[in-house]
Amino acid sequence: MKLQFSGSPDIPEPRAKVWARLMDPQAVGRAAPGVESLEVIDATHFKAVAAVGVGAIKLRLTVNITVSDLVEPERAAMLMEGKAPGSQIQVQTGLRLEELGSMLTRLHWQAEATVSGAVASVGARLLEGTARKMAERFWIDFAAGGAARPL
Amino acid sequence: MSTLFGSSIKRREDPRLITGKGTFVDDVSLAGMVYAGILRSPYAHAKIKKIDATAARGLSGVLAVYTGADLTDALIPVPCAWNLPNADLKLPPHPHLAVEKVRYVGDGVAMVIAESRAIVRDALDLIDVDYEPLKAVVNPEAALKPGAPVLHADVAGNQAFKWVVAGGDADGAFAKAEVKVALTIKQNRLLPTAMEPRAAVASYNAGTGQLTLWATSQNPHIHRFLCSVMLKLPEHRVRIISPDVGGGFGSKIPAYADEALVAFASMKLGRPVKWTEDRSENYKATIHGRDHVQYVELCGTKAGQITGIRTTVYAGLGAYASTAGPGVPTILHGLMYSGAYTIPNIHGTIYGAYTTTTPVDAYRGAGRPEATYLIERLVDTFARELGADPVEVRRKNFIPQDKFPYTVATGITYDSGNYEGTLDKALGMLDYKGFRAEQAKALKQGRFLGVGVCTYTEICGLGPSQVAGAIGFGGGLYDSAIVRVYPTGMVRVYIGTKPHGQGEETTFAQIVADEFGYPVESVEIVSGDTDNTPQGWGTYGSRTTAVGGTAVKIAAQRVKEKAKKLAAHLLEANERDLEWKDGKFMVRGSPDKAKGFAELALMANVAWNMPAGLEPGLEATAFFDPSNFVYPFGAHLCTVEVDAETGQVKILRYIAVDDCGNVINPMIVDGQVHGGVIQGIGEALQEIAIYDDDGQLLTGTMMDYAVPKASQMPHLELARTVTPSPVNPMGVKGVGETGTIAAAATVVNAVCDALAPLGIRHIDKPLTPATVWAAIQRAKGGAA
Repeated sequence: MKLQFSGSPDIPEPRAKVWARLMDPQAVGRAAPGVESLEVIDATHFKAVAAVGVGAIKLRLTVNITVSDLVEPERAAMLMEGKAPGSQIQVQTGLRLEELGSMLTRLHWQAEATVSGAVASVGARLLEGTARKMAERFWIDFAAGGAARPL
Repeated sequence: MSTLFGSSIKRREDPRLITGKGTFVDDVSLAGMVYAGILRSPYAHAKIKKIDATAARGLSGVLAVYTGADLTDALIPVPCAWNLPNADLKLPPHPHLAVEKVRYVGDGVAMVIAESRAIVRDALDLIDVDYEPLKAVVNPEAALKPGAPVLHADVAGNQAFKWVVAGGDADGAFAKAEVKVALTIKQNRLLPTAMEPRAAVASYNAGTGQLTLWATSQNPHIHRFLCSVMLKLPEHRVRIISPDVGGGFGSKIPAYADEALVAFASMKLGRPVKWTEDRSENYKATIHGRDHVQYVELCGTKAGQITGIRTTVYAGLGAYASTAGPGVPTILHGLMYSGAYTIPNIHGTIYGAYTTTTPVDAYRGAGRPEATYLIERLVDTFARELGADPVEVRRKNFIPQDKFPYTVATGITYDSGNYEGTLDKALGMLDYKGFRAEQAKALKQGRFLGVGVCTYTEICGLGPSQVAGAIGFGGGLYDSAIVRVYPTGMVRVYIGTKPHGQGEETTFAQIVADEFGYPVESVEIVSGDTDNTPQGWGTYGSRTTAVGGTAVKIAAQRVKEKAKKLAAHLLEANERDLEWKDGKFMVRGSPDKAKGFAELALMANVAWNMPAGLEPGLEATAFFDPSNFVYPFGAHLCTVEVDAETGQVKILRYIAVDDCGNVINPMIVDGQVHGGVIQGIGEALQEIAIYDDDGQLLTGTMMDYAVPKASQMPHLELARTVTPSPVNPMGVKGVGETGTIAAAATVVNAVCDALAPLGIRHIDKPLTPATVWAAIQRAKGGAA
């Protein structure tokens, strides 16, 4: 099943600084829900292990992340392909940084998730709500700096 | 002496089943047994780029991991056994585990064998599969459109078959018709949800070359044959044992990949192997039911005479043709388009479509509910168009009682019927006129009451074997029994059918005990083991009593005839002078010269004093092949109130008057009707298997798929009329499916009747509150 979410939190930081943080896999990883480990393969390829829960289903996903379409300091795209036993989740995210002021940046994000397997059939009723919450939390945490949770 | 035939004795199997003393396949445990688990595709349609099972194979306790590539030479693909003729049927290969491509969520990709169930689970999690997702198609009509994703390279446009049923001149009738009505109907896909999921235990003995497979089967002899084909084993070295089976509703008819895979593993590894489905797996890997898109129309005269029916039906078969898949939406559906009526002109075109979904096969009623529903919805729509009472329109078009046997336009011949009889009885129980007055009064207060009528007939008691051959059914449809009388007079009856909830351990014993003048306790019914039961064709299509029960009756009569010969010899009387009275053969006029059945059994089995030419022993085998199907019928009525604010449907009364011919055990017949009606109400109000556009099954658990609960169901008011069938000597018909066949149409007709004042003509089932509310909003011109 396909799910679409979007948001545009404001960040009280200069755009260049937000961009730098966006390009820092550890900073992004800290904000991402349930990330247990993050491995940097090269500048645009990362591998993460993340544990998430949807209703009764607990998934431990191995996630391949590819960053593309980089236009500094304005936009980027990110493809996350997660695999767990019996389930697969793919999330395509588009990001745009809008400069609202010298100390204010708006982070526009939109994500399309494709969910397959057990998590779709068991969690379908809960999935939309849970996934929306997780996606929004991800970017709100990122916007807030995400420093609270060390990896 | 009172007879057991016709008496409501309690089901003898129930104490065992409801106190946990039954033996189901999962209860079978063998020394050295290991466990199987199957990795299933999370994608509806995808290329398999790579399967890496290294980590799984390396896990301690794992004996083997098999993938599709390991099987292509070892196994014959899963066969479809209904080779529908004159339909350009395409049967692409159905591998036991996917090769190159997966075609539905749940398609098997790999099998793990390990020392424990826990290790199996862990190992399945370690298998890494790389998929390349392809586009899915879940709607059978969409699957046939140009540009739809193609499932099988050798089936262009996904069309499995095109089958036509025709009688009279439907196009001519429509061209001349005074009145025409049309509907588009979606037959919601259903999940059979037997209480016991599927399971298998396979044990191969390399010394004897014999495979024993305990399997959840409605038809063990069919499974013996199909397993011997898939596994390339001689049929006499395959033994299927189907012990207690916790319901099937059709879902345990087919030959699945899984049972053969378990047998394959046992042959490879030399260990007994067990596999048991869990519920989520059952919802994906066990067949589904229904799934039609139907374009249907009816024409008639202004006076209410129906002159023609035309249909175009798109039937989803799922990703592969299941064992009986092609026969269900055609033979068991299209041939019933005349319903209970004299409709001279009929034309139906049925397209079978492969879709990226779980295969679809027989589910309680199998094709006939989908036919009854479209006919009964059309008749109601026709009546509404005429401004006529739907009861009177039905009456006008009934096949008259004195016209049976009656051949309908589709070419089949109904055995017997009295349709007005069931309808009148049902109307009397309801006080139909009184309810119509109450309905009109309620409407003035803004309350929506409705009454639904369904007068069905159905084809069951499958059936003459000659017909089975002609319609491409890959087997016979006779059935069989061995009646064996022990020296002490106790009786065992070995049957070719396989009861799995229908109560034949009781009703068949009633037949035999009556024949021998015995209490029912002296007779045991044995089924399910192909090594000790005669060749039969199983339990489905409401055939077990009409066909298998008749074989039991005939075998018992043969035993009794032999006992009579022995009695005459022992009594030194002429056989012609003997009469059967009070459970004994006695010389007419000399009641002291008599021999009871138990004494004759002893004398036959010890054979100390047999007449010349009479063999020792007391047993007989019978095979019964009926001359025709049987056609039970009835009238179901339902009254509802619809809450227009919430869309909630409340069933006020449900009345079922059925005629299944002579009744062996009224309590068991009532139980069959109860279960059938409840499943039909579930179909009408709440059950639907939903796939999203990516082919993901969104109703994969019992939290998401709404099986009826006891608290939701109304009290059922049941009654019967009795019109014996001339097709078998007991005059019985089938009753396992009538409830499901009638109930969905009855309930939807009632809701549409309630909402007719709002201008609502039709709402597709299931009539959930959301669906009904949305229809009401649309009718009111609101935004919904």
